[in-house]
Amino acid sequence: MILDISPLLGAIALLIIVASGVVWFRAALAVRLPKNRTSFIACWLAAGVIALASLTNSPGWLGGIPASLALLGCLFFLFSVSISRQILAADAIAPGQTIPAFEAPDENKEWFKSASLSGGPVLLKFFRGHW
Amino acid sequence: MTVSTDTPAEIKAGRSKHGLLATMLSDRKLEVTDLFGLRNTGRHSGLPGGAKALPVPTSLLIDKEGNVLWMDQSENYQRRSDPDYVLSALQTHLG
Repeated sequence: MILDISPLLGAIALLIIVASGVVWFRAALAVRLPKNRTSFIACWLAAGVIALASLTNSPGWLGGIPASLALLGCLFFLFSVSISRQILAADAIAPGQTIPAFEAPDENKEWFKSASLSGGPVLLKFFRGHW
Repeated sequence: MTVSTDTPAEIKAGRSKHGLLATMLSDRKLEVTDLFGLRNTGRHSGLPGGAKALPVPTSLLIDKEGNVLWMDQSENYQRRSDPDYVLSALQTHLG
C-alpha cells in the first residue's frame, strides 16, 4: 500500500508559510526587513508548490485546509512584495539642495510654516501615516 | 518633525497612542510631499478611503540654512530608516 502523503504535504506547506510569516512580521516590526528578500520569496514559492502538490492529489479536508491556507499565504506574501517597490519623480530633493518653503497644518489645524525652522537643524521624516 | 497623509485627527490619535513628541504635519493632498518630489509614483497600496497617494518614506537632515545634509530613503515601502542608522547620521553631521 502506498502511503498517502498529500495531507502531510499540506501541513508542511502551511508550516513553512507560518514560520516564514512570523520571521517576516517580526523583522518588519523591528524595522529590519532585509533588502534582499530572495530567501523569503524562495520559502513562499516552495510552500506554494508543496501546497499545489498536496491539492492536486486529493488530500481530503485534513490536507486540503492547510494546503489551501498555505497557498493563500503564499499568494498574499508574493503579491505584497510585488507591489512594494516605489518609484520617485525625477525632481526629488537630494542632499546638497535647499528645501522648498512649505506650510501645512498640525494636529490642532494650526498652520506650521517652514520659515520657523531657521533656528537650528531638523530631522524631517516623510512617512505613510498611521496604518 | 514628520509629514504624512494622516488627517489632523489621525495624527492626534497616533500621538497619544505612541507618545510622540515631534511636530507632526498633515499633508493629505501631498502638497508638501510634491514640493519635495517625494510622491510615490509606483503602484499605490494605501487603504481604501485613505489618501489618494503616499510619499516614499524618507528621512532628511536639514541644517539651519535649510540645506539637506543627509537623506535616507527606501526604494521599498516595506523598509524604513533603521533608528540606529538615523542616529549615527545625526552624530556624523551634527557632532
